[in-house]
Amino acid sequence: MTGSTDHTLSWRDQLRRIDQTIAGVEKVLASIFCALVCLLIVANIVIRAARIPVYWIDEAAIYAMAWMAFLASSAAVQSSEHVMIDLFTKNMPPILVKPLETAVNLLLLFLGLILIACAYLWFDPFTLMALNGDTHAFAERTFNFIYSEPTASFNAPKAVFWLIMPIFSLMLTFHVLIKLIAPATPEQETRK
Amino acid sequence: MIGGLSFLVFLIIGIPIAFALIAMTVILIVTVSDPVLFRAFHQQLFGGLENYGLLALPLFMLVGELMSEGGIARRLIALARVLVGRLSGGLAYVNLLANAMMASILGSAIAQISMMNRVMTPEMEKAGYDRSFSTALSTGAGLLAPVLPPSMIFVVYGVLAQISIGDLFISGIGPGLIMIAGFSAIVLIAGLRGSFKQADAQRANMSAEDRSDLHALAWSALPAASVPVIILVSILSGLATPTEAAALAAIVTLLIGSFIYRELSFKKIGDCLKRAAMTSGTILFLIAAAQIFGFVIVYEQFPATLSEWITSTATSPLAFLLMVNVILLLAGLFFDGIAALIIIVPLLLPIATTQFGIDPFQFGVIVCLNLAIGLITPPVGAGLFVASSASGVPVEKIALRVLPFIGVTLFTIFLVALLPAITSFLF
Repeated sequence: MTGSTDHTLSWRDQLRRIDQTIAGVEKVLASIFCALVCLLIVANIVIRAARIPVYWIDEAAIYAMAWMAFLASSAAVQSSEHVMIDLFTKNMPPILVKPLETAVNLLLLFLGLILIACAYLWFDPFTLMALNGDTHAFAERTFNFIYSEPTASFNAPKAVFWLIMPIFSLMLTFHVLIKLIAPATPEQETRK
Repeated sequence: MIGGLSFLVFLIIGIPIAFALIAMTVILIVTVSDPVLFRAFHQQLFGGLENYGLLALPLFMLVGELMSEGGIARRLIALARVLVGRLSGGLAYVNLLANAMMASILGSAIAQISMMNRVMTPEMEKAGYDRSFSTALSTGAGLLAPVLPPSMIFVVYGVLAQISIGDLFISGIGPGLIMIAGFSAIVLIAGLRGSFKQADAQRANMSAEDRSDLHALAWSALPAASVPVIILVSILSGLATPTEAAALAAIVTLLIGSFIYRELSFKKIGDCLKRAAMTSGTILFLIAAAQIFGFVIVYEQFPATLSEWITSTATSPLAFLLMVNVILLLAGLFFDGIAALIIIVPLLLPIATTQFGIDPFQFGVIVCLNLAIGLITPPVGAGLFVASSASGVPVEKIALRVLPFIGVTLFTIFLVALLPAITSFLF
């Protein structure tokens, strides 16, 4: 009996470890994008001072910031770093805390699944595949211009930058799912 | 109605505000049963961040982190000490001056309150000042951060109101100076009532060795002092946008901390980047979610209903501003400043500008100062908790002792409401 409990615990611990590792990678990537934003803006000042205007730098910095924000937001779900009002939850009777936490996570899971569905509807990958990747035909058939829309200042499809949205939706859902099936024990919460 | 109620329930049960905004939008889309809106959902969310002004947020956060780790804050305080430390109650003025200098770099009241309480409060206590007074001073003076340039909350307001962030920064200088004068008066009155007798006696007995150490540290602060100068001069002269000023300041802080003070290791820089990315990332996500929220409030005709109610209640711009003050002070008691800003500005700004002809810059200063007060008032005032954990003084004691600082800030808000020129005289 004890062995089976230990086995369950270690299985959950492993899941949590994977979750933490993924959140760690997201944080590192977010840090890299943060550094990139800074370098791009400084490069823009230098290049402008040298009177060689490069128009795409500001737009690239904005995309780097968006990737940083969505990666950080997904990681923040794992480490519970999002801005929230805890005035009521902090003063709740202890018996209600756990069920409420589960309810909140279930709602976040539901939201995550909706975001995945929204990303699927928007990117519509199977229709694109059925049309052999012909983005023109895709736009004509679906009236969805995701693959035809270019960026404003450099000639690249904007869909490449929008890819962060399905990644964010998937990662966010994964983090919430792990919180539900392998919640941290109070000791682990304290250590965190 | 359904949206508003569900939003309240989501907040009460502890759903992060950004997700509560998203959930509310989902409910509305389901109610209107228009699946095309689901297809555009992510595009709207991503689009909420496609704004050049927002780039300043992660960059100023990064400057703050690098300053704190790179030993710059400590040296700036030493410089302030040499400049005004000789006055009676000198360290209290040093605290104010250092807060004003930090406000010109950090832009975040919470970061400033945390840093100043960690550095200044123990220093003041050691020098014979009462600990709860020192904590209240370090906390109350943190209210300068949201009003002196650069200000994080101004960046968000500028983006929401679609006005120049640089000009908004300039608008904050007048009210900031009034607050500095008011805070100095609080220190002066405390001195006149004999609060600094022990501290002044200890200062008189300061050893020559300690004095020379302090002067050496102050001299070494000269490169650090270039950071606020770079930020202020480049923004005020129009040479750089606030975003560019922030990026430049980050690089200069990095270079000073790494090569002059040698306190920034590669690992520390990585940690600074990580903290800046995480803090600004979650705020940016909140802003992105607010763009979708904007769609909800327009759909549910909140602005029209609210406008009707407000214009029937308030008959003059001043009455409207007084009413706004009450709403904002109440909102600030329960909401995080930037979150409250994101929710309230789209509702109130159109009424302020179109119905009452109020200048958006003047309105921005009033809104941001009101919400900043919420940072140091119970029950959710994050600044109080940060100050309490850094200094060990109980929250309720700090809350009581920061009341004069809140009084000065309210007086400044009143002056700005009465005399709009305070925000526009530098244009």
